[in-house]
Amino acid sequence: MSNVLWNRVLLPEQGDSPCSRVYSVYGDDFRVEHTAVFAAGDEEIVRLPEPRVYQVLNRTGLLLVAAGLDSREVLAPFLKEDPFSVGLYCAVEREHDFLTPKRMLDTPAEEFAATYKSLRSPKQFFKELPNIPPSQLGIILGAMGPQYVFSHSRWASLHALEQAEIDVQTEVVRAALVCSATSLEDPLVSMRNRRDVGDETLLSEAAAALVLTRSSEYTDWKSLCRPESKDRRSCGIADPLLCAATRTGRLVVA
Amino acid sequence: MTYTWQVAVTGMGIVSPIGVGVKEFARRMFSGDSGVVNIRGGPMPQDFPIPMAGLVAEAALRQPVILRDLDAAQVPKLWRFAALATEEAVRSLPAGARVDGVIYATKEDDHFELIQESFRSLSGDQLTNDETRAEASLEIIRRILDAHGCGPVAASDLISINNHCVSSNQAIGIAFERVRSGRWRRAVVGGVEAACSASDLMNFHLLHALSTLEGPAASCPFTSKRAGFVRAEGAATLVLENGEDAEARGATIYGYITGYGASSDAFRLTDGRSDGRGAIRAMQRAILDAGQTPDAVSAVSAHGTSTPLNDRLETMAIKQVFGSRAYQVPTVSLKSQIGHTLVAAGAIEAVACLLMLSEQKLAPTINCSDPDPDCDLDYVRNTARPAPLKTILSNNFGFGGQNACVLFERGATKSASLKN
Repeated sequence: MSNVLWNRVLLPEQGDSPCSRVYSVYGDDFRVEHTAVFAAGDEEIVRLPEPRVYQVLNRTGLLLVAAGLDSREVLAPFLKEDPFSVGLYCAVEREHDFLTPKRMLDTPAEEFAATYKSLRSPKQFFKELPNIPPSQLGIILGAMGPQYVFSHSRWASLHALEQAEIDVQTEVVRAALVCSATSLEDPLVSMRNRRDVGDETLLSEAAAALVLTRSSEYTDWKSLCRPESKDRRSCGIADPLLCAATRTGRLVVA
Repeated sequence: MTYTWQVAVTGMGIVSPIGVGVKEFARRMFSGDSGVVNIRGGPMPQDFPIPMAGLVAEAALRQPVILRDLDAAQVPKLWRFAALATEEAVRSLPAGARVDGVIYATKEDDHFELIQESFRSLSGDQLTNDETRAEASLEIIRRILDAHGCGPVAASDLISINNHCVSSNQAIGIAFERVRSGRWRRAVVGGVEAACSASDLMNFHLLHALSTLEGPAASCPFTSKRAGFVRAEGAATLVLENGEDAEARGATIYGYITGYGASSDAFRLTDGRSDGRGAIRAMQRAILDAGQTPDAVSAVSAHGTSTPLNDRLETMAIKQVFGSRAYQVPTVSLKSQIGHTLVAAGAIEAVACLLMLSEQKLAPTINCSDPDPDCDLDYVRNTARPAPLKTILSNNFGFGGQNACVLFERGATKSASLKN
């Protein structure tokens, strides 16, 4: 299998008591039960080189960058030799803006543009696009190899791993940084995940990253991504990568 | 690395502002038609700040067969476009020709109206429907393949990509690699974009990315008057097939994919690098991947967005790749005719490239009469022209700093002709 040079898993402490996630945009009685989130606020999740970068990253993006950025030392020798030798392979879902649609419920069509402009900063758009966190991570790292953003709600992390595997084995890149993250900020994603996994499973924020390099054999990521039947925690789109990371050793949980 | 298999394109389908269906698209593309229309007083109010968009004419759309039991008005455009393009593309496949995977570029919508509806009824149920999953369009494609006798495709082999403007070229590129290496024998690839909503247009407008010029010439790549891109919608689907299989079954071969290259700028979210280094690397990689040199490239299908920065940087990057020969390499922009379909752009432009190779004719870059001195290549201004075309390099450069290029090659004697 590919060499897993490094990995990182970010999960809220099990001790952090599972709690209800209230989506106050819908009112205080609109909640998803049995959830786990990091106690840290957005700006405590990751230390970014420039404060303005916080303006373009949503919570999922911050988690993704937090997990991926820790690979800096591992990737440094590759990047020093050739910035094109490192690629990014990510699995992320969009985080939607709920506040603006709510505020504009009664806005007539002819006032749409002016009202929309008054309610949203131009950078709000960046916070919603799934390709922005990987792009920002690539900018901070200085990685100029391919960047892929997979978005299948269940299998995207597997797709990221498989593409990374192909690219390291065919020497398109020398090192592949595979990342995924999920937050509970978006009621759409949380509600859907809750429906998918049932009420007994803990819905959790999470992020994971690993660095792959070439070896003599292809890796069967599909089997490595299969969840343990005893798993009672769901981290949405990041789940397959979390499974793979916990099975490939040298695990660092932060 | 030695590769065994040629990768043939044996099916194409398209939904675009200049035609639904490959034949109509080809006719209007070579005629230099524009699909850019005035949206004020139509889908948008009279004083909407963005005047133009490349829209698919509703009259040209029919309900896809796979969705025939649903009320057309209730079916998201995204699904209709992807289904129509795919139903056309897979018509070329015989029943039993199993497709191993689907790789499709789909943009996740902002779901502005869906979210508003959820507030009106205060129900979370609307938030969890299938429309909100990125892979929803791919599930429909999977059903089309099943109905056509080309399934089953495993759920984990439905690969959705959302990497902005380079998404479709990446979908084509990674499917190409899977077929070339023999991991897959056959793939369905493409991209769909259908989000010309008021909120979506405003998002780009607030970033000063969209043209506010009025009239169908609002998209005018490489000219001195260019002022931003024109937002557009559409979809295209391609069937990629192991070349040996395709020849054995006597398939119509529209052309071959022979190279792919991708890179990142690692520079800024909205601006390309001033040295064009990332774009240059992606083009070079695609050419090298095909075992070719720049001298073998007959033409370039440019990203050509009509934004001041992209067109200047792309011109500079092409000069770096091709050297003094750059002036002899015709460089066309389909976006002059239809606008920018974002995640679907690479797939739609792939159909354009394959048609140019089949017809041995260059499509024109329209609205291209007022040259910018910094953009001084042969852009095939305003009128299509015959040309001996063996290979075309298709460029896509994206918001966020990604670059993805695909090299298409004409089949030696087997290329399809629209006349067949």
